[in-house]
Amino acid sequence: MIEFIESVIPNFARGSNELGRAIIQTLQMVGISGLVSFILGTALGVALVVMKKGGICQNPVAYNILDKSINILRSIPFLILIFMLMGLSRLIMGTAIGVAGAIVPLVVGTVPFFSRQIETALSEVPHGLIEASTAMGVSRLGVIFRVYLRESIPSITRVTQITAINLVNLATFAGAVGAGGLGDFALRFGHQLNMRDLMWLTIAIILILVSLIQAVGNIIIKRATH
Amino acid sequence: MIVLKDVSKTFETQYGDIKAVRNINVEIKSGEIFGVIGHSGAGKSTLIRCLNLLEVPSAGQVIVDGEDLMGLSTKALNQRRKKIGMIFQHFYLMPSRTVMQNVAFPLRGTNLSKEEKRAKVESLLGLVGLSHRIQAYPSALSGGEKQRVAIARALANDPSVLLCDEATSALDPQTTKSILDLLKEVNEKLGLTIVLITHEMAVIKEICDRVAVMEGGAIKEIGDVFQVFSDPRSDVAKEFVASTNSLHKVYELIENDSPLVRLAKNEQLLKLTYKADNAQETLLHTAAERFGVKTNICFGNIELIQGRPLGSLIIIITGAEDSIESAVGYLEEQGVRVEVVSK
Ligand SMILES: Nc1ncnc2c1ncn2[C@@H]1O[C@H](COP(=O)(O)OP(=O)(O)OP(=O)(O)O)[C@@H](O)[C@H]1O
Ligand SMILES: [Mg+2]
Repeated sequence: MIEFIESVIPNFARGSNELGRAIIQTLQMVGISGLVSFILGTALGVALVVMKKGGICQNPVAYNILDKSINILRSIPFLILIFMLMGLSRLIMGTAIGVAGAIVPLVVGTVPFFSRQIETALSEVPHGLIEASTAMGVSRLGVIFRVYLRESIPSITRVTQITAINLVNLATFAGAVGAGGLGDFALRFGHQLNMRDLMWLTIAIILILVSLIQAVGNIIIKRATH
Repeated sequence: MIVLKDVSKTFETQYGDIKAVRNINVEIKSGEIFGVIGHSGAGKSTLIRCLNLLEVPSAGQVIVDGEDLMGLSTKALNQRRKKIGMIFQHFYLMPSRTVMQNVAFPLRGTNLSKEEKRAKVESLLGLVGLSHRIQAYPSALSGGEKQRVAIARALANDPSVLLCDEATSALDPQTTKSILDLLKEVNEKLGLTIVLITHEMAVIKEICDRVAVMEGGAIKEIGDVFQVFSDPRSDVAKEFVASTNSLHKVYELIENDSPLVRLAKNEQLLKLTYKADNAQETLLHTAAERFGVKTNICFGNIELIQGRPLGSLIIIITGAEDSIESAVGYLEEQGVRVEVVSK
């Protein structure tokens, strides 16, 4: 086995420790910022849907403010976000570097995109279901959780897959602020030390990660669709 | 009892105000099946949606079982709504939930135990005849079955009122009949007040006790179904009643100068409407004998409305003018409504 690895990936031994750490860092970045983005993005997506004209908590002013802010944030390139948010990151996370320093920009880079997608997903819930629930005396909070969110689990999963894969991509950028991770590993070993085999290995690992996200999502979608 | 006092609803749109419902005053009695009929856009849906404040009236009062709904807090209104069931043309079942979960949906937050909820759902599904589909998902049900589940769901909290917004409009005639039978059954079994809206007179005829005919947001005519059928006063009501049988075809025939209805000099075309308790055959016979006229039946129709037969005939009557007049007088005396279609 070891011999086999040595033959296909000759530099494996030199990079393996670093690689293990890089994988953990990437998983930390994707996991933590993913979780935070999921909660924030879902909340904002729900807010957009319910405050829209004709929504259950119609509020045109608040909707417009939120709508415009999301558009603005969405149009800032991620690389610029990283530097722009250093101050905020220090305030929230106590540091602007390392994995902890990458969380804030990753979240800010993900939430606007994700909340838009959630908005679209929830808008697909037929208005009649909302009306029927209201007629049954379900409160507005009940409508949000028991109808909007519950009835769009397949679409929410679908957009979460896309966003999570996007987040893996963004997390490789974060190497730029010393957060480490697979992007940073590929840069240092694959590019700077010219160990091509390690670069391919990194790509393979990311491919596995992405496939895993796809697979888990597809299982959820399959089980929730009737 | 449901009382609507001066209820109006105006929608403000960018193209100006739309008065969907205008100054409606109605009392719907407990336990009756009250129908609202009207053409598309007449304001039927808007009106029925005012009954549970899905649409908040711009003016007026909605009083259900003595309680003014518009005076309630959001929370109290939600509690109140649990006692007003509603079903829709497109059913609106939750697609991600089984039949069981759909019917149990409105039971969340009640103080029933899990077992009690299950028992409740099972008895409701028994009532609507769907016990065998308890684990099915809505996508696997036919339209009629979906509406049955929707009815079970609407009855989950033992409401006193059931609102039906075009509940049978998406169903074929046979399924429509079975759903109407079910509504009639729950009306009788549970003493439920039912308000249903439709654009089909057949639905009204089938199960309603009283009917309101709407046009342009206003009620043009209201009364016992039999009365409205046998003696419609407003133009819309006449038109709806005419749509239920083939007698109106006579006007087309006249227009096309069909030989069937072409009249000789001493002939008149009459439309007779009678409550068939007074046997028509004999009446016509007697009239013919007594006044020396001849009668010839062109079209005939008998309907059962609220269990009572209502007949109408188009006849050609032949005779001297004053004989015809006397014969008509006699028929009217006997409770037959006579209209001269042409002469
Ligand atoms: N939310 C709304 N905003 C603006 N106008 C509306 C709204 N809802 C209904 N209307 C208008 O009010 C009028 C009555 O509509 P309503 O839906 O009550 O008619 P209806 O009798 O139920 O018709 P149908 O048989 O087609 O369902 C229509 O002119 C319609 O365009
Ligand atoms: Mg309607």
